[in-house]
This record gives sequence, C-alpha cells and structure tokens, in this order.
Amino acid sequence: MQLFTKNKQTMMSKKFFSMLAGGTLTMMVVSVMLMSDSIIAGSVIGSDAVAGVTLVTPLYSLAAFFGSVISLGVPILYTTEMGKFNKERADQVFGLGVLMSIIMGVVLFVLTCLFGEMYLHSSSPSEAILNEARGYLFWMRFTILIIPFQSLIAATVYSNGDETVSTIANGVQGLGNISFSIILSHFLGIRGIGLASFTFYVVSVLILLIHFRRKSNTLRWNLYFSPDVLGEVIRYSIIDSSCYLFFAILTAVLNTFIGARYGPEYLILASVITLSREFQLLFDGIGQASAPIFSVYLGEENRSGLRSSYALANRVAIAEGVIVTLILVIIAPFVPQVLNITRPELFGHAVAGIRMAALGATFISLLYTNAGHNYPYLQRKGQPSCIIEKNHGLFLGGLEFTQYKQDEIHLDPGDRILLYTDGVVEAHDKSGGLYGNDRLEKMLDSSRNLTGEQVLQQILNDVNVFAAGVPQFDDITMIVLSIKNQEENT
Amino acid sequence: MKLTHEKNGTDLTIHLSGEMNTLTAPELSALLDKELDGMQTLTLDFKECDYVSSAGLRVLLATYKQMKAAKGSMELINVGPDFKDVLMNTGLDAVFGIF
Repeated sequence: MQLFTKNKQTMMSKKFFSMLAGGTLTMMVVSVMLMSDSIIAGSVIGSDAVAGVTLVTPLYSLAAFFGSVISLGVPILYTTEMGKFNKERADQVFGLGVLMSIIMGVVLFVLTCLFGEMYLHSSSPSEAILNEARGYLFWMRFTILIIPFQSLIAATVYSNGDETVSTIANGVQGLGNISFSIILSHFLGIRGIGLASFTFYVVSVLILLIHFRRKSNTLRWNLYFSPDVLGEVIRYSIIDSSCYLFFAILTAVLNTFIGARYGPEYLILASVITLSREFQLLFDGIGQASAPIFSVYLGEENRSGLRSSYALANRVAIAEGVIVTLILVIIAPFVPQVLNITRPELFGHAVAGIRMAALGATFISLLYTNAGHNYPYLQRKGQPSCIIEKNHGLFLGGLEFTQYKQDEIHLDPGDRILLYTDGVVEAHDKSGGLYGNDRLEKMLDSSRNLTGEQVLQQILNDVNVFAAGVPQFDDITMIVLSIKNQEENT
Repeated sequence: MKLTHEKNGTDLTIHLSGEMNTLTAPELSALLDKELDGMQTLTLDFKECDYVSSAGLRVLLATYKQMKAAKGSMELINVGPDFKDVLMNTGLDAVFGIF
C-alpha cells in the first residue's frame, strides 16, 4: 500500500498538519500529566510513590473519560452546525457542554471524596504505597473536579480555530506541571506533585479564556440542556473517549490483580505497563486534528473533501503507530531506571512488559464503508479470497442525509484487497452472458504469487478473452491494495 | 419497453416489460409525469422486465423522492434475481420496498 505520495500540499492538508500539532498537544496533556507525575515520583521520591500514583490513575482516567465524552463530542457537533450556518443550534451545543462538564466534575469530586479511600484499599497495597496514594489523591480530587471543564474549553477553543491560544495553554500546562512537580515534590513529597497538576489545570483554563476576548471567537457562554443534543454529543464522542475508560479499567484491573496475586512490591510493574500505554496515547492527536475538518465537510456535504481528509488521517495514523512502537522498544531499558526500579528481577519484567505493550501501538487496519459499490475481495495469505460485504450502503449522492456505517478490518503483510467497478463483473460476451463474480474470484485465487499490477493485468486479459471483442458499455476499473512487509519498499 | 398501467383511486400500478435502459427509461419517466400527480401508492411490476440500467435506477430514485415528498409509498414487485443483485449492489434494496 502506498503510504506516502508526493502530491502537492493542498489547503486541507496544510490545515490538517497545522491542527495535528495542536491536536497532538491537546491529547498529550492528559498523558503528559500522568506520565510526568509517575516519572517525577520515581526519580524524586521512590518506587512506592510511583505505585501510589498508579493506584490513583484509574480515578483520573475516569474523569478524563467523562470529560472527553463532552469535550470530544461538543466541538464536532458545534462545527457541524456552524458548517450548516446554524449558529443558534451551535450555541446550544456549547451551552450543553458547559453545563454537563460542570455537573460531571462536581459529581466525580463528590464520589472521589466519599469512596476514594475505599477504592485505594481494593488493590491490597502496602502501608507505604497507601500513604503515597492518599497524599497524591488529596490534590487530585480537585484536579478531577476541573478536568471535564478544562477539557471542554481546551477542545472547543482549539476547534474554534484558535490553535495559538490552545497550544500555549497546553504547552504551559505540560511544562509548568513538570517543573513545579519537581520543585514541590522536594518540599511536599507526593502531595507536591498533585498540587502542581491541579495548579496548572487552573492556569490552563485561565489562558484558554483569552480566546473569549478575541475577535475570532464565535463561542457564546450559556447553559443549555436537551437529552437529544446530549445523545448526539455522546454518539460522536463515545468511541474516542472510551480509550480513557479502557485505560481506567485496565489500570484498576492490573493494580488489583498484581497486588492480590504477587504482592504489593510488584505493583510497580502495573505502573510500567500503564506508563507504556500513556506513552502511546501521547500521539493520539489525529482524531482531534481531523474532527473539525470532517465536521465542516459533513456540514457542507462536501464528499470529495471528506474522502481526501479521511485518507490523509489514515496515512498519518499508520506512520505514527510505527514510530511510537519503535520508540517504545528502544527506550524500554531506560524506563525502569527512571522509575527507580532497582530489584534485578523486577527490572527484567519491566523491560519485557514495555516491549510487549509496545506491540499494541502498531497496527495496519482498513477503515471502510461501502457506498453502493460491488463488494470488494479480501485475499489473505494462504486463504481463499472472500468478499467484504458488511456495511453496504446506498451509492453516493443518491439521497440526502444518507448515513453510512463504518467498519474496520485488520490487515497483515501479504493481505490484498481488490476493488472493482461493476463493468468488470458485468462485462458481457456475444450471447449476453456476464463475466460474473465466480470467474473473478477464480482469477484472483490463481494469481496469489503475482504482484498487484500483474493481478490486474491477468484479470483484464481474462475479461478481454471472455468478451471476445464485443464492445462493452461500462467502464472496467480495478485497484489492488497490497499490504507489504515493513522491509519492502512501499 | 412496453408500459401498461392501471389506477384504483389513489393507487397506481405500472407493469414494465422488456428492457429499461438509457433509451427507454424516459418513457417511464414521461408516464409518471403524466399519471403520478395525486397518487399515494405506486406499485411497479417488474415481472416482464428483463434488464434495468443505471438510467432506469435514476428514474426509480427520482420517483421515490417524489413519492416520499408527497408522503406516499412506492414498491417494486416481482423483482427478478438479476435486478435484485443490482439493487443490492447499489444499496437501493434498503431504500425501496421490494417484493
């Protein structure tokens, strides 16, 4: 598959890459806050403090999940409504985001105050780790209170086109948190790290509020509630925000399992795996960068813009996945050192754990929908060809407001996909007989060892032999996508 | 293509026979322009129809939109396997009522 093309940069791609930097920074904030807290806790205080931070991580991730349910969905819906020039509805969407983020923050804060201590005991920590976790949670409760609101403002300011303010806010938050955590941890221990996190969430909100004084701002403060709008917001955000929910569950299960099965001294290994996952989330800015562009195109019903921006986002996702994996594999031996893991058997487990977790970052998959085309063929190594028939929708432009379902299939090196127009299977001979899918499938299966280009030529030759010179009335177009090994040229 | 039709109150049924292609689809279009006004139910009978090209599909989709706008209904009956494949490939099987 051709991952990179040398096409001239379009306006859309320039905007995408400009937003990718800001979007990556936006998504980095949660991960940087978590990662830096663990790393500083390890370097300055010790491995018990790292385990303490990891015990609190599920609560923090849960707040990030609820925050992102609102903060990812609201900008998408807001920009979609703006794309339709429906400002009143866009204002209602923003008003709903403000109201829900405040309610969510307060509810999470109250629940953490009431049940936080009970939760910390669930992982059977040692007294030392429990004390560190309590100290960290003290200020993190206030961070949890503010996360949903900060996430919403950060995401809406960013998607409102103010990458400058958004980038400054995220940059100051990340760097400020790190430097103040280092300083405060020397005086206040783990509480200092929690205090630094909270302080710089507040600072970030204050910087973001500058946007509301700028001329380019279209966001209008208001409070609004409608179950329908809330449902729509959740529909747009639930998949992306679920990564934080998954992360919260993963960390909680890891803590509980390792604490109960191997004992509290092994809890640091949960921190190592968690850190590796956080590192992968660092680069998850593609969704952030694409969403506003997709939404405007959706609002304008610009299908060609939608297609090209989607293709660009996919290429960047694959490239980033490979880079993150390589980085993790290379830096694995240094992570236990940073976290102050000194016991040799734990050191070995930690390095292996990071490298195994790194594999989750690399994937090649195909996100697809089918708008009225013949079912494509999927040819997997060593298996007969089969058709991809899920989510077959109406042809493009047939009806207004048609919705298409998206699906994803995992692809491995050696896999191939054949896309073709109906002119191929409906090529006819002298007697009016059709070439048909059975012949096409046989040709595909018999050309396993050929290159993509040779496959196309072989099928075309067979169609020509079948038609025997009878003029065809439809176009005969085919594309083969081949997933190559990394060492092969793409 | 040969077209015959019958009306029963606000129900219109059209029987199609032969091929509906680029040349013949306008005949159906012209008939619908003339007869569809005020109809609430449209039934298209494909029992004798051998082939429907993309031009035919275009007429069907335009008619469907027209019926939908008038809050009426449209259904295709006696659809043969080849035409059914075409409808499935284009996603129109989920749009039209097919019997």
